Order: sequence, then C-alpha cells, then structure tokens
Amino acid sequence: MLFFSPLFLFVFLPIVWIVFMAIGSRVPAWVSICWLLVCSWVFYAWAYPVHLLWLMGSVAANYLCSVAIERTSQSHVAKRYLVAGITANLLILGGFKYSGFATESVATLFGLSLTPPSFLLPLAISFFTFQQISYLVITYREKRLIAKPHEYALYVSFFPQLIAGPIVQPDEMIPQLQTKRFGRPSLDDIGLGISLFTIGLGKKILLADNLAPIADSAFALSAQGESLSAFSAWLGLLAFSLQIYFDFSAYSEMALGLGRFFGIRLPENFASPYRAINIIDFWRRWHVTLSTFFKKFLYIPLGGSRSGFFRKYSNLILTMTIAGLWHGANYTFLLWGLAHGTLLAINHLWKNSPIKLPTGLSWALTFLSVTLCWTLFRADNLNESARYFQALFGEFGWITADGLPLSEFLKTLEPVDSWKTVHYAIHFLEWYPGLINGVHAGHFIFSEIMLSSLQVLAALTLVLLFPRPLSWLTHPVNEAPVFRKRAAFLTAIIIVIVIIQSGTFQTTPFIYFRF
Amino acid sequence: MTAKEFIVWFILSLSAAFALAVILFCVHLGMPWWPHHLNREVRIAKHHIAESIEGPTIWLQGGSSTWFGFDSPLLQAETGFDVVNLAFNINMPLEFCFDEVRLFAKPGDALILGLENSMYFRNNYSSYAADEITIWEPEFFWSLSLGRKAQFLKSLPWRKVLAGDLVRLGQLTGDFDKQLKPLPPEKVIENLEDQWDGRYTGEIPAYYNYLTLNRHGDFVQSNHTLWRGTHDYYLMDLHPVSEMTRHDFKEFTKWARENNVQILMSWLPMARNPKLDLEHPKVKASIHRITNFTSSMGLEFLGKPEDFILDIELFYDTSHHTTAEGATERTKRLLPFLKEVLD
Repeated sequence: MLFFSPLFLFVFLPIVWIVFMAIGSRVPAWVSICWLLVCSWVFYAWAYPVHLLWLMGSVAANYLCSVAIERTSQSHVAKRYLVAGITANLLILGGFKYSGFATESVATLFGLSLTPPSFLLPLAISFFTFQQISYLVITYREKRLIAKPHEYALYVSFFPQLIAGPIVQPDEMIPQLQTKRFGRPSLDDIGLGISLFTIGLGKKILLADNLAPIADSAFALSAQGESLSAFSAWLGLLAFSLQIYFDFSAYSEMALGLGRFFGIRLPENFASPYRAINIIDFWRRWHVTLSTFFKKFLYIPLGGSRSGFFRKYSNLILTMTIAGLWHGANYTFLLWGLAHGTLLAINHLWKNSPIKLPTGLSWALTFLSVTLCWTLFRADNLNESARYFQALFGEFGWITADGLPLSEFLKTLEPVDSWKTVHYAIHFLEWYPGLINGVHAGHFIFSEIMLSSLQVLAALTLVLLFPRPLSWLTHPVNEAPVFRKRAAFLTAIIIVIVIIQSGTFQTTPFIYFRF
Repeated sequence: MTAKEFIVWFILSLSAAFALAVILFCVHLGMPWWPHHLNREVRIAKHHIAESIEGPTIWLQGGSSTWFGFDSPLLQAETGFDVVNLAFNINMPLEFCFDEVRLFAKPGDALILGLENSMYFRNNYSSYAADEITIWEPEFFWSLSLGRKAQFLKSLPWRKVLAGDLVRLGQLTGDFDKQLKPLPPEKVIENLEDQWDGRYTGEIPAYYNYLTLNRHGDFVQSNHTLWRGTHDYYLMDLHPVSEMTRHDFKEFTKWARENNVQILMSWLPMARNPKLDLEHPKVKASIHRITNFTSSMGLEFLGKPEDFILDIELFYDTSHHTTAEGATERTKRLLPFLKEVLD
C-alpha cells in the first residue's frame, strides 16, 4: 500500500486515525499501541500477506533474544546472545538479499554452472533488520528491557517508517509510547502532520514522478544501445538526481507527518542534502538515520578514526562500500558505495590542507560528484553505467547524437502530444511572437527536450531556494510546530493541484521501497 | 499563529484554491474551437437528420464501427423503417450514447446497439470524451450525478482546461474570431444539404467530417490509406463488464421498456486477422461475459460474433472502420436476424 494511493489516503489512514483518536483518551495506552500494531501489520501484509510471517517471526525472535540478554547476569553470556542475535539477523538479511548475487558472482568468477537461489525479498527487511539490531545492542548496553513486547513490536512495525525508514533508534521512539500523553496527539501535532504529509505528497506526485520519465527514457535509451548526446545524458542524469532527491525527501516528510498524526516524533532523515558544500556534509544530510546506523554500528566498532591514518581511511571506504551494497545486491551499488567512500576519504584529507574553496565552487563540486555517482546507482549493470558515462562525456555527440547541426536539430522539434492542445490554442490565436531559426516557436517551446529542461531547471531552483519544511514548520530547539499562513496556503494549493492532476499522472512506488 | 488558526487558514485556502479551479473549469466549459469542431459538427448534422424523421425508425448507436459500419439505405429498403445512424466515436460514454437515443426515439422505434467490445468493460470516462464533451456538450456534464461528475473531472486533462481558458481569453481579445470561431449550426446544416445536393464547392477540411455523412448519418467518403494490421478487438482482455456499463444499461433498458423502444444488440464487424481467434479460451470467455451480461438485461444479440467476421479487404482506415462495401456486407449479414425479431 503506497502512501499516495487512494486506498491509503481515503480508507486506511482515516480508519486508523479516527479509531486511534476515538479510543486514545478512553483506554489504557497498550490498547492504542495494539491498535496501531495491528494496523501496521495490515499495511505491511497488504501486497504479500506471507511476508507478515517473516516480520512477526523476526520481531518475536529478536524480542526473545533481548529478553535472554537482559536476564543473564553474566556479561560474556549476554555478549554471546548479542552476537548470536546480530549474526542471525545479518544471515537472514544476507540470505534473502545477497545469496543470488553471491552465487552468480562465484559462478562467473570460476566459470561454474550454478543456479542462483531465487527468493521474493520480504518487504523492508533491510530496514526492520537494522532497527532490531539497534534494539539488541541497546538492551545489551543498558542491561535492561526498555520496551514491553507490544511496544517493541510497534517500534519495529510502525507503518509510517516500516517500509523505507527512517531507521529509528529505540530511544528515539519507545519512550514516546510510554508517556501518559500517548494516544492523545495534540492539535499542534495534527496541524503539523497535515502540512508535512501534504508537502511530501506534492514532492512525490508533482515533482519526483514528473521527473521520472525524463530519467527513465534517457537511461532506457542508453541501455538499449542507442547513442545519447551529452546534453540528453546530462538532462537524464540531472532528472534522476532530482527525482531521487524529491522521492526520498517526499517519503521522509510523509513519514514524519504520519508519525505526528499519531503524536510520534520520528527522526529527521533528510536535511536538504543538495545544499551540502562537501561530501561529509552531504552524508550528514542524506538518509541521516542510515548514516548514523553505519557510523555507530560499523565505522566506530571497526576503529573509526582513532586507529591510525591508514585504518581511518580504509574503515571509511569499507563502511561506505557496505552501505552501498545495503541498497541492493549489484556491483553498481557496490561501486556507488566505494565511490562515495573514496570521495569521503578525499574530503577528509582535503580538510587538513590549507586550500579552501569558495562556498559556491564547493557546492558545485559536491553536487556534481553526487550526481555523477547516481549513474552507478541508476544503471542496471556496470556495462550500462559505463555506456552512460561515455554519453555524459560526449562520446556520441554533445548536443545531438546523430551529428545534426544545432540549426537543423531545432527544425526537427515537435510539440509533445500532451501539450499539443495548448500549442494549437496559442497558434490559432496567433499569439506566438514569430519563428525561431525558421521553426515555429511553439514547436520549440513545447518540444520534449525544452519541457524536460524546464522541469529539471524548475526542480533545481526549488531545491536551492526553498528551505526544508521542518526548518520553518518547527521550532529549531524543541521541534514544536510553528504555524504560518504560508504553510496553510502551500498545503491547500498542493492538495488542489494533486486532485486536479489525479486523472492524468503516472505514479511510481518510492525508489527506497525496493531496498 | 495557533494550531486552530492554522487549520482555519488551511480550510479557507483550500476553499479558495478549489474555487479558483472551479472558475478555471467553468471558463473552459462550453468553449468550442478548432480541435473540437469535427465531433461538434457531426453531432449537429446527425441531430438535423434525426429531427427530420417522423415515421417508425431504426436508430443505430455505438462507436465509430457503427458510424462506418452500416448501410442505412439498404436497411431502410429491406425493413421499411426509416434509419438514422447516431453513432460517432468509441470514446463517448455509454450514458452519452443512450442520451442521444433518448432525445429522438419514439414508441415503436427500434435501436440497433453496435457497441465496440471495449465499451462493455470501460469503467471510467476517457480523457478524449471528457475533453470533447466539456467543450461542445456541457449540459451532459451538468446532468451527471455528483459521483459521476467527480469521475468525469478526474478524466479531464488539466492541460485541455488550460487550452480552453486561453481560447476563452482569445475570445475577449478578439483573436478567437480570426481562425477559431466554429461554424454556426445553421451553416453546418446548409453546407450539409448543399453537399447532399451536389452544390457544395468548399473544401472538406478533414476526412472524418460532417460533410462525409449521407442522408442517414452513415460515413460514406473513402479516400484514406487502408488499414491492414492485426487486432484482437479487446476480446483477449479478462476485464469484467464494468459497474458503469451495468448501471447505464440498467437505466436505459428501463427507459426503453417504458417508452416501447426495442433494443437489438449487434456484434461489431471484425476483420479476419491473425490476432483474432474466436476459439481461444480467453476470447470465448469475453464473448460469454458480454452475452451473459446483455441477457441479464433482457437483450439478445442478432447473430453470433463469427457471423460478422469480414475479409480484411472490407476494412478502411482502422480495425473498426469498414469500407462502404464492408458496411453493406455487414448489413446484409445482419438483415436475416433483424427481420426475425422486428415486431
């Protein structure tokens, strides 16, 4: 069930919320928790009911493991339980996610004929596995159970964050379920929830999903062996870079907004990463909770930055490579992680040098590096990404791939079908100023390449000019909502535009759903 | 600002934004201009033909396979009924097609309903139809129930509304009159009469046009590239008969019973081609779903689908349009079944 599907918006969410509000002040908190838990499981099971067994089994097993850790008085036994719990979680995750990839790699490497096992990956397994590992670690460290079974189950399964994060740490959510106020969200929370959820919805439907066809078409053409000009390849890559930005930002804000509907403050996962002025800064803003997880549970246990020059950089590169692979079992993700690890290492080295770049140049270099790396992330395999890189650097022509001079290329432009009626209206009203290079202005303005360029430019402008919603919708110190008229206008306008467009837009699932 | 004030502002903004959207839609509504002239003028012409009929009549209704696919003069000669072909496009909603019949049919008349197969399965308004109807038949939109209005609006592409608003603006500036002003209905009828009498000397602007109609409303001109492709006529899809179709048929058959109008179902003419296999289980199932549905409405088909499989040479520019010879052949094949059931 997608957050923007009519079933979710008009049936699931209203039922869950109305019942939650109705029972909140009348029943003990555990009833409200159980209600949210059952609804979260319905949400999870909607597409593949059988996956729910995995989730429930995993929740039960991990909770029992945490009980075992808490009950034992001997530290080394507790550690053994912890290691066993983490290993089991990682083995299951690895088995589902990487066994096919590993078998294929071994078969290719040694020329063997092996059939890769084929599993249907349980939805969100990467996310709920990490949350549960966090819980086992915190239980081990604190030597006490911080949650009752139903609280723990909801912490793992809470539907706003279950499918694609944020990866919530136990101490970020469980104490909220244990307060007396739980079950009675304030009007402030609800008002903020509406704004955040709607802004996220707008980002997904009006921005990300409109950029997707531009990126899809460029990457598909390149994958099919068509020659892309550098201009088209950059347009496609920028479109993807902005698509994934708005897609993930949308999901994160919708999740935060949904959490607020139920009085739960989820951690911010996305903090204007494209405003970062270096790669270190980027990773403090992009998928914040994943970065935090890897830092806390991999980079620091590996020795972090305190084990000498060589170890520091190798730890960094290793952590990022594993983080890349976390996104999917493919060499492209591995290389993407490796590239980011290398960039981070370069950035750390650069920090120690006396050369300081102007902020604008730093920003441009950061954005360019991140965007170029998305080629690896978006392409289906290494060959496709290599071919796309060739296109980006003008291998098949700069403006046109078939060697047409620009003036001739302009003459081939046609208005796209979806805008033809508007074009005809302007044309027959004789409102066009004249011809451009002998070509009708409307053919240029409403051509696919022009509309795509405008969309990419508009999206980039939004990224650069508009602050992240939480920065102006909440107080910076205590995250309390700050209500403004402009938020009310924006929320209302997004709702109306989404409704007006609802019959014509093509929606796609969130990109991070597949991880 | 408190949360309460925020929610009040939000509701006010929402209302204002909706009001603005409604205003833009209403400005667009009923704004005929060039891309829409074809259907508007064909409809004016067909209404003119229908209004001039007085005796017992067979009405033909459906998509363009009906517009192109009947030889009305032959039908008239063989049955003694006047014949009027009201059909024009597959995208038109059933409710709209039935409304057209309701406008003219009298007690004792018959209706041959030659719907394209996809029309039984459609559960929404096509964006083409939503666009056309808002332009030249806004009354249809207003006649819809609230739920149907919402469904209709959902199918209306917003870019078309934008185009309509621009044209309305052009009307205010006077630019509309230069090239976009549609022919007034009386001029359409005058041209049509001239064309029938051989007096029309102007150009025929498009090959689907009111000037290509005969005196019964059939399409008669044949000067287009011939279609020679493959098509399964939507019989391989496993869609159920839609709720929308069921509802519209239920209403219409009730009206027909009350007004003593006989409804006769006709299969569309289909071209023999490699994609069409009437023995395929999926095709059989689709045909079964359609016939089961019409039977449940108390309606029976004239003949079987296989009776209307024609040679591909009898098809014109698409898989659903027959040539004049194809229309005659289809009509000839229908006549024995028709004569059996006509009261």
